Amino acid sequence: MTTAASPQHPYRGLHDRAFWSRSVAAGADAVLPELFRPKFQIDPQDRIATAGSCFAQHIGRYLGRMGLCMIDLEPSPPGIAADIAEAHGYGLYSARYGNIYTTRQLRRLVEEATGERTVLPEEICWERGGRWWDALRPNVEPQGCESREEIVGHRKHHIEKVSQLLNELDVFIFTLGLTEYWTSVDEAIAYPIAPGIIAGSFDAQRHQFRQLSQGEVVQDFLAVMNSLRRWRSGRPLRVLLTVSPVPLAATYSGRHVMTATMGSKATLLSAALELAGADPLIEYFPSFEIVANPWFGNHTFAPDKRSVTPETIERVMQVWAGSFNLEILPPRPIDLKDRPALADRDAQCEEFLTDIFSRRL
Amino acid sequence: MKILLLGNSLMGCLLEAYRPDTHLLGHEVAFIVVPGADGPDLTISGDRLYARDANQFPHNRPFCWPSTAWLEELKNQDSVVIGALGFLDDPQFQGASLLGRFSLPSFRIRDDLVNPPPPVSRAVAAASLRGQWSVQPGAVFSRKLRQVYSGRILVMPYPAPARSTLTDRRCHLAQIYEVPSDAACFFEALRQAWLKDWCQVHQLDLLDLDIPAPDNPFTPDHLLATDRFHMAPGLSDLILRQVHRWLA
Repeated sequence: MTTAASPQHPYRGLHDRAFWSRSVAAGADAVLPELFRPKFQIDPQDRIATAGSCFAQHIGRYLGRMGLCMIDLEPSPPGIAADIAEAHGYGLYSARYGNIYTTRQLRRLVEEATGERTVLPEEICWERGGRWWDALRPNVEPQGCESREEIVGHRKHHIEKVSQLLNELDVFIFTLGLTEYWTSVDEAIAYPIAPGIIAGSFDAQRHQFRQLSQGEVVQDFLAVMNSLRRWRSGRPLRVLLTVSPVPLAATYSGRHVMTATMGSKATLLSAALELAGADPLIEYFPSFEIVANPWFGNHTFAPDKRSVTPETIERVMQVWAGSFNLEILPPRPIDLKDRPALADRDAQCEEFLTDIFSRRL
Repeated sequence: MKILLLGNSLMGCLLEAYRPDTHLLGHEVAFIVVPGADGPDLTISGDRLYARDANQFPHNRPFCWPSTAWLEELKNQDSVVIGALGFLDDPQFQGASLLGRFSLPSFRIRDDLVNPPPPVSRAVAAASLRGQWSVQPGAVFSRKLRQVYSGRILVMPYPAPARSTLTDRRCHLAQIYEVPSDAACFFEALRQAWLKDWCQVHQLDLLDLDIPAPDNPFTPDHLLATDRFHMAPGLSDLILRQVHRWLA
């Protein structure tokens, strides 16, 4: 008499993380430690640069608290309180480029910083009420500047620093935020916000709305990687991609903002996974999945259903820290009596302004 | 009235110019002078003043007149004059200058400037300068003094720059800017605004020196010492007379 052996199949022997019933159904505590297994490590001596949509600001803040070497080539001048510095684009990212929502915006910045593209002052200087803004990072000077010449002077310095940054970094962390954007008709310029909201004015003859496809997102990022390799003479870099879980503040696609959000995030997720799957030096970190899922309860977003709660950000970064064997150190003490605005500061976000201004107009 | 005048080397200028038979008549006057680039570096414990260890910091060795001034408790003073607040630039010690830490492209930057400081907007410059002025030793001391001393506190600001600093290449104004006078007017307006705000918030009385005039933010050259930083006897005399008027 013989006993029938259990049949062999590909799922036999897989880790619990591969099965819904043994992981997600068991709750967040069972999921999070196994959610992400990076294919490369980040060492304390690695020089790290961050960029991306406003969610990336949270990542940068936490990475500093993990004892990692965060690059900041455009630090705040001395004496400025942290909230005022952040309102002027200091300390948010590795250079003062503000939020980079789309891969097209990132591609254009890298092309400019590596000398592959020249940006003319008339293309990027926005005026309102006699004051001037850099159209490619309008939020870094909330009150604008005195003149077009001043904008050009600031941008020259900024691009020099971005050039230096692209050469110095070992790890680049980029958070993909949007697929919708506004561009010049020749598509040479990718704006972070529609002309006319902060400054400048919309002109249908000069500006157009664009929506990036999954393939275009991939192509943009591959172009970025090629530019970086040339600029760095082939010296390798590691890339960590994330997708911002923050919903769109507004859409021009004609669809409902919720379906536009889900479509945009699906496009970005698909592109990020494709990029990470094709290159051993590009990794994808699932911050989007930790926040924007229905399985960890209803407390990941604030009452506005858009801002990610501090507890959820902490949860995201705990997963990050655990995956890279790092520890999150306590934040630097803040004197709340002197600077109350620091306690509840929001991420600086041009996209949010799109919603605010559209209601005022 | 018992008056204590304390401060850094600029207060030393007042001490040098002070004549008991001419200035602050009717008052019992004492000076404590602790040299230091951007205000008196003193601490307060209980009701007494303490300077840094003179053996460890010989450049900050305090001078007192009369020599017993150091022993007097603060509560015995009717008024205190602090000098100086609002340090901005010093042609002798460029490392200490606030103006060398950034450049303002809204004022034309010199073409021949080899390594210009990082460019900032006027709004960022204002926030940076206000923050730096607020943590200079003189400002910190004035805030602490206000917390422990209920009498009247008069604040003597640094004099505005001389017009001749605009062509002195040791000064950052002349080093950085093509038209230094425009930048100087901007910085001086910022400084005056900060001084007024600081004194209002901390309930201090600001001596406005009556110099310069609002439409001419420069101290006449003859009122500054040859280093263009300290006060010449003429300006010290004017300040002592103004203190006298404020106390009347």
